[in-house]
Order: sequence, then C-alpha cells, then structure tokens
Amino acid sequence: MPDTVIQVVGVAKTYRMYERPADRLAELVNPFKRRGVDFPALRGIDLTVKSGESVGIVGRNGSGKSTLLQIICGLSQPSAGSVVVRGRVAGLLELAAGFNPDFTGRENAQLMASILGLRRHEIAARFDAIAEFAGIGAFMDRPVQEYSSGMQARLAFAVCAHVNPDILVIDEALAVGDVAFQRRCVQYLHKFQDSGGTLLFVSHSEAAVLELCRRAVWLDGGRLLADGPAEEVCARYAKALEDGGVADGQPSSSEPWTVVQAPPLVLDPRWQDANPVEVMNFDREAPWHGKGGAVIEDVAICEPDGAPLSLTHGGNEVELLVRCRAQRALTRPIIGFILRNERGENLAGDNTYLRYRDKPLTLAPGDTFTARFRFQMPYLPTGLYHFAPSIIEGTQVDHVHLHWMEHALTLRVTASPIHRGAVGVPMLEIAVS
Amino acid sequence: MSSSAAISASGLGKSYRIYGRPADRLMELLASGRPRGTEFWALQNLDLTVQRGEALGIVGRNGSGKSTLLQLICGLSQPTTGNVAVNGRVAGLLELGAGFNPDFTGRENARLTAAIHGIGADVFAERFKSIETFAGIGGYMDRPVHEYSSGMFARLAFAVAIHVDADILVIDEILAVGDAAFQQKCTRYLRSFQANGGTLLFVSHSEASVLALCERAIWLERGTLQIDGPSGDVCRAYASAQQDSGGSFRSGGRPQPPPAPPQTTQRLTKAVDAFDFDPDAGGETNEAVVEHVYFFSSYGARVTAADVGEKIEMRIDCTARADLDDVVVAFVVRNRLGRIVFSDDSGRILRNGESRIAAGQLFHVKFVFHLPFLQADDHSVEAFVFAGRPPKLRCRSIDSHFLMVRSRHVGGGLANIPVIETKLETDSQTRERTDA
Repeated sequence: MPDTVIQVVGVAKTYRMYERPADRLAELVNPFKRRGVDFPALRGIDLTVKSGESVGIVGRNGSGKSTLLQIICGLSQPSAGSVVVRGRVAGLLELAAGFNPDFTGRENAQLMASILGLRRHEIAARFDAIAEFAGIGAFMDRPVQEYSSGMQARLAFAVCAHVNPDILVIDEALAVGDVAFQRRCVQYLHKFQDSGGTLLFVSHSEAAVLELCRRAVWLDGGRLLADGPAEEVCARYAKALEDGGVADGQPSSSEPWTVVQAPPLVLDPRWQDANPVEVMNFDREAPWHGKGGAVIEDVAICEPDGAPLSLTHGGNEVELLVRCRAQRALTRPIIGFILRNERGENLAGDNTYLRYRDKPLTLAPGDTFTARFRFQMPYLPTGLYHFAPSIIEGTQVDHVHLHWMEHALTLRVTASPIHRGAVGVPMLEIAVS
Repeated sequence: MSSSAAISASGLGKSYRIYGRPADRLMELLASGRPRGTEFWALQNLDLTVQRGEALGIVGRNGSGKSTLLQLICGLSQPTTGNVAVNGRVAGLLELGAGFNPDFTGRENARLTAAIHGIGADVFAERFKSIETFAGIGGYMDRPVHEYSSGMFARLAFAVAIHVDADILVIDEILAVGDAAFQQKCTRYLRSFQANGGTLLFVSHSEASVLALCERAIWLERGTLQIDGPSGDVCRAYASAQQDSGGSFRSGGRPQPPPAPPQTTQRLTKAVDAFDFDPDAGGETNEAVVEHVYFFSSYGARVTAADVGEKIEMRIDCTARADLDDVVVAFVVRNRLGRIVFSDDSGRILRNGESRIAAGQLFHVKFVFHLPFLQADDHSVEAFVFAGRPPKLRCRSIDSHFLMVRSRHVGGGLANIPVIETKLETDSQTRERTDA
C-alpha cells in the first residue's frame, strides 16, 4: 500500500476580519475589546493523499481552496487540527508568490531553488534547463517587476519543475501562459506523475482537472463536500453551480424551487405487507379557511388512474386525487396538499404550481377540475395521518387561499415495522464487511 | 391547587397605563384625581393550569401577551388582576441573556445567575465544568459578555439555566439562534428534562419547534386566550388565522376531526419482528466503538452533501472492544430540531456465517438507499452498536456526523413524498383523454 504523504486531520482556519484597518490596530493595543469578526475559511477538513496520487481541488472563489494549499505548503498555520506532509513540497500558489520584484529572474530562480532545498552546485547544473523550460529569453536577466503575469508563471513553474519535488502544489498557475507553455506544463506534469510524484491541483477548469487527476475534492464554504473520482466530483460541482446552490445548501434565487425527479420506486422486502394503511372517507365537515372562488369537492386515495381505495400498504403506488369546483372564473389555480401526522407535524407537501406554471388552467364558473398526484405511499409508523388539501390562486410566492381544508382525508396505519422517525426509508442493500 | 399542578393561574390580567407624553405620567402621580393615561391590557382574564411534566407551547403574534405571561410566571412582574401560583423552582430564558451583566465575563455571569437561583458557591464550582461543556464557547467564557454574538449569549444562558435544578423551564424563542448542532443539543436536553418530570413553557414563532417539543399549546391574541389544546390543532388554527387578511376571508368546519370509525377487517398483515430501541437511553457498556460514519455517492466518492433522491451509501465503521455475539448496528438521522426523521438497523450481523465478532476487529456496515426528500439543511447521523440477546447497547457514536441535504423541492415537510407524476386537468379534459 503506498505511503500517505499528506495527512490533513480536522483542519480549520479562522481569520479575524476588521471593518476598518484602524480596528485591527486598536485590538492589538487593547486586546480585551474585540473589534473584528471571525471568518472561518476552513472548517474541519480531513484529507489523506497517498504517494503518487493526483488530486484536483474544485470550488468557488472563497471556498477555502487556497487556504488549504497554503496550510499544506506550510505558508500558514491551521487554527485547529493537524497537517503532516512527508517529502519535499514545491508550491505554485499565488502568481510569483515569493518573487522579489527588484531581483532579476535569474536571481529569483536561484533564491527559490535554494529555499526549496537545492544546493548551489545543483542550481548551477540545472540553470540552463530552467531557462529553457521558462522560455522567456533575455528577460531572465531583467527584474521580475518588468514581467507579465505569464512570464512570472513560466519562471515559477520552471523552477518548481527542476527542484525534484516529491509533492507539487499548483494553484491555477496554468491558466496564464500561452497554449504552447500550457502543453509543456501538462507534459511535464504527466512525466512527474509517471515517476511517482504527488500532485495537488487547484483549477476552475474542469477539463484541466480531468486531464491531470483521477481523484478530486470539492470545497465549499470551508467544508469538504465531496471526495472521490474526478469525473463525478466535477460533475457534482458543475451541477451545483448550474442549480445556483450555495454553501448552506440553500438555493439563492427568489423562486428556488424546481420539479425534483422522483427516484425509482423501491420496495423494501422486509416491510412488504407489513404496513397496512386504511383510508377513511373524505370529510366535508373538516375545518377550512379561505376567500372562496373555488371549493374542494372530493379527496381520495386511488389506484393509479383508477378507483378509490379504502385500504393500501406502505410502498404501494397510489394516487392522491383532489377534485375542485370553480365558483368564478379562475386563471392560475394551484392545487396542493400537506400530509400531517397526529401531532400536526408537516411530513410532506407538494402542489401543481411548478408543473403547470407555463400552462395554467383557465376555468369558467362551474367548471370542475382535478389534480392527481401519483406517488409511492410512504412507509409510516402506526397512527393517524391527515391530508390537508388546498386550492389557491396565484404563484408559489404570491397567492390567495381560496379553500384550504385541514384533515379532509384521514389515514390510519394499524401496523408498522417503523418504530422511530417520521417515515421508513426503503433500503436497496444492507451489507456487512 | 392540585398537587401535580406546576403552574396554576386564574383570572390573570396585567394592564399598563400608556401616556401620550411623559409629563402626563408625572401629572397623574401628583394630581391623583384625573387619569391622564389610557389603560392597555397586555393580558386579560387568563385561566391556565400546567401539570408537572407537561410541555406547553405558547403561540401568538408579537404583542399578543406571550412575554407578559412568561414574566408573570417567572415573578418578574406583578399581576394587575387574579393570581398565579407556581410550584417549584423556575428558571427563565426570557430575552437573550436577560439578567446578564454585559461587563462581567461569562463565568462571572454564570456564577451570579446560579447564586440568584440559590446554587451555593461549592455546588457551582462542581457544575461549572459541565456548564462550560454544554455552552461550548471555549475561551469566550472568560471574556465580557458584551463581546458575545447572540448565538454565544444563547449558548451560555441555556447552559446556565439547565444547571440550576429548575423544576420549571420558561423559554422564549431562544432556540432560534445557534447552529444546528446546538439546537439539537438543546432539544435533546429539553426532552430528557421533560421525561424526568420537568415542566416546560415554550414560546416560539416556529410551528415546527412547538410541535417537536410540546403536546399541548395555547394561542394568545391581544392578551386573551384563543385556544388551549393539542399543539397540532392550536398551531393549525393560529397558522390559518395568519392568512386572514380581511375582505371575504372566512373559515369554518368542525374544529376536531370526527372519531375514526372502528378498524376495518383486515387481510392478514405480516408481523415484522423489527428491532426497536431508545436512542436517548444511556447505559452503553463501551464494548465497541463507532469509528466514523461516511457517505459515498453511487460512484464511490466520499461526500458530505447530497441531493434528495440521490442514491447514496452510508457506511458505519465500528471496532469491537470485546468478543461480541449477535451484533446489530443501528442509526438515527435527525433534523436541526433533533427530530428523528428516519432510522434503521442492520439486523443481526453474520460475517462468513459467524455471529461472533472478536475483540479488536473492525467491521463496516453499509446501508444503500435513495436519500429521502428531506429539508435542505444539515442532518445529523448517530450510530449505535448493540449485541447479545436481547440486544444490549454497547456504544453510540460520540461525534456528530452531518450530511448536508441539498433540495429544491417545494414541500416543507420533514420527509417529502417524491411525486412521480402530477396531473391537473378539467374534468372535461379527463373525459376526452380517457375516451381517446
């Protein structure tokens, strides 16, 4: 089994942020009066990298990628947790990090190489190779402040490539530089990988990560959200960006909901026929509220596209039917339901809004209309359950209740293998190793 | 007053005089003849009995009299009419950190609060470690509380309140601050407090918290009691009244559901000998250790966040510390309020046909399932190892393991139902479709 070369355990990093620079000074002078706020850049990261592995790191700006690399390179100390790194690390973190702008490229290269542990004679022996790799010609003897960012990246990469590192840490450096240089870098990195080098590679480019890494991790809000095959982690990250999902798992747009595809129907073999659900009759006298304009006339649990049921089982595919009558013209009716348990807790809810947002029904006074929601009857603990059906008009966020009934349809679960929790979740597999 | 009543109020009322100008208040004091202010009844003619061991939720709009009621019960304010008898020691968490001196440190405020509740210095010294652990605010304990965030205030106030041997805890919205882990810790504590005979009064705007903690609730509106009953009914009535924006809005129907008809004759139901356990019971023997709980996507990536409906694998890694027979590994998944959303167990574990796991052996149990449609939020997983017949608790996971659930589903339920297909059509459209 290859050795672990990077072991990050529970690493957290918190910065103090100040509104004004003067606050930082004031806190130094009088540390008993705190003026800044803590910003957690990393919160409890675990990461193990084996020798010879290449790990891509993806995540949005501010997700903690650079902080993590700085800590691994020893440029910054974690606030909590521990980092163990075995071997010589060469880091290309921020562009030209560590370059002195007044020194020439040659001087900076010599300095950087010696900091990375090369002896003077080794540097001398390799200097031509470094200069050739960098390909910046006569600029090598000009001060670095005259360099373009591409030239700085070329020089830094060239030095890193010639100090025999065991671990290379690269932060977006490949994004600058022309195509030819990028190709040279990728060729070098492949060779580095083949010779057993370990690579940590931060990039916003999914293609670059997939090209270089078989494994990737995804950071968001200072937390590690995923760690696994690069294709999959990149796909998850791309999907989250598309969804507009943000760090707290909360979508950000004003109408954040979407039609979420139901997973395939799973029957749990342990629970078959063990979870009978009696369905009572629709209760017209159930408590209600609303402004009027439509009225709920029937609620039932049915066979899919079929007749009402008085008995079903947890796990069966059924339909909830809600039939309404328009009392005036309606333009954007939404039919919905909430399923509550005996305590009144909201177990589940859905409505027709998202699926009919772009093709709303238009109804004349007296029209009857029906919503059918097809689903797998959840596996439920014993007890009473109530459907609260509703007919509202408008949109998800801006609407009026026309007719909203509480416990209009009652279910009674008379036996159940589910003892703890709100529902039973059918298992596809339970295995021991 | 019945011996089991913890709180008993009759005809309780509180009025304030409100003055147009501050000078009017002075004038009224000096010239006692003519009243210059107007009378405002914050609470009127309230009868309420709370039994020992009950948890009562209090809902109502801002200014409905909730806080006035709590102040009267805590003895912070005197009733204008009627009386309230409180049987037992009350600890109140009214406004955040009320009673804390902002210039004192957390430790000093804790000591002071404990002393007010009659906890001697020696007892306090014994308990301080536990207060510190519960609060979990680290080095801030020795910083003045004016430096605290509202979350830290709440943590300290809660930690102190539960260490003063209160019989009655009065809590006003405190759970709204703090992160998921702290909220879970509080709700778990409140449940065990109640189970041990403690009485809880709980004001919250969150219907879910009231339902999670209280069997019974009252709804106050403009200082008067609207409904007193099962918390589900009260919360629903309160919620539907929030919809009332005037105009033609009406409500009606029978207030209570009709009694369910007698059970229908059933076809034979398979009896399942499912394993049940109390996740809050202690008594573990520590003959095993839960090392970690991991989640993996269907492609094998380790994840800490997953989309609802996604196929995931939960792996529980355990080590036996003694020879164990008939091992069962169980877990519960809780939401932010500590409510168990779902749970399951491995059944008796057989490895290579053997029911014994030897001391020192590492074993993994994996559960593969589609992530139910939970709320988009952190959910925690706790794992348990049982062994023997009947199964006896050997250990529980020490760390909290969190899974961040990502969802854009519209439902606000604990575990929403994945709807396979939704149809909305006029009945004439349905007829056309079925005829065709």
